[in-house]
Amino acid sequence: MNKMNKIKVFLERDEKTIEISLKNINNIEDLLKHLNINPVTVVVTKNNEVSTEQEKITSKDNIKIISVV
Amino acid sequence: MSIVYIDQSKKKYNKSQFIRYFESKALRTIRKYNMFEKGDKILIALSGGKDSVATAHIFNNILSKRGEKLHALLIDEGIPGYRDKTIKDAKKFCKDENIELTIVSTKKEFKFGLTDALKKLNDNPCNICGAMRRYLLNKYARKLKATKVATGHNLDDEAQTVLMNQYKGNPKLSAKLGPITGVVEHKKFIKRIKPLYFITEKEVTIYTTLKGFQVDFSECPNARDSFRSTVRDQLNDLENKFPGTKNGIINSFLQQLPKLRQTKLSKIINCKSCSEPSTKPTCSMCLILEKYKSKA
Repeated sequence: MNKMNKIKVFLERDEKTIEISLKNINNIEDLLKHLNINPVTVVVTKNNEVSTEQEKITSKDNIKIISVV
Repeated sequence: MSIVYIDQSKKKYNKSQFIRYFESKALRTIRKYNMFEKGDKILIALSGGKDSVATAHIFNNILSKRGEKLHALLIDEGIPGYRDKTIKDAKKFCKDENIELTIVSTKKEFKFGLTDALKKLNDNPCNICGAMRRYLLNKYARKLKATKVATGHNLDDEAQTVLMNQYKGNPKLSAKLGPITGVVEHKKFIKRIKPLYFITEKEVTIYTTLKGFQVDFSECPNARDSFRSTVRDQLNDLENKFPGTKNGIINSFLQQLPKLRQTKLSKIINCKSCSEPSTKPTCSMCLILEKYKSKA
């Protein structure tokens, strides 16, 4: 898999970073669906800015997923 | 400016709009339910988590404009690896916001912490912890001459509790809920107020993130497999599929609350062991203490 097609995602609750292929993932909503995460239960930041599910993402972005629970 | 939040009616908010929306919502709740009246001295029940930090910040904004200092009380139940982190955050937050912080340790007060209690007592950790915290909150609120205690309970917390009481077949217990609790007057019982009553857990998380508060977003290790966490997951699934479910639960509950309070208002008496206010002859905390000592 080409490194350029992957995105790094930091899971705050687990304190770990995972790499996700961006195939079929265009925005945060797609990413959460891929990770099987209910969007009601998290806040997502893109490059340290709070973002909505419609926010587009690329391999250059730093994503952090914060559990609201 | 980028969009940080889209509400149920699809209205979009940027950072400054969301902060204004959040703070206005909390202030409207405070006004609507007369949570802060002339002569009131508010004490914040602070854990160092996102909800109590947001509540403290809202009240500190009000008081600092009047040149008054806010007081906060933190109960250290002795949960290693969890509470020590939130205490560190709470101390930093209070220093930054110029809030007077009092920390009360259950180990000093009762000679044991939650972890010690769990080793001896075969009981639900949330029950023991809740009894400890409520007991000390009320006792120290009086010592600190507070007239009301503000907690960080949000819409999710309340909707979960309403459902839990239904599932347990004891909806009358919900008479104790609502934006202001402690509706039964007793000179030793300090009323509790919930300024975040109509604000969701997600909105609180967005707010504290946007404000840059240093808060630990982890969950209490004892609560992960609790009845509450099961109800919470169920409610979040419903909210995802049917947006507005949580609001619906709270709105219908508030319509029923006046009737519930007519039928169920247990008289508050003094505990025969410690004289603290209780609805039973011996309060929950004294029952735990008796049980703990009997296992010594």
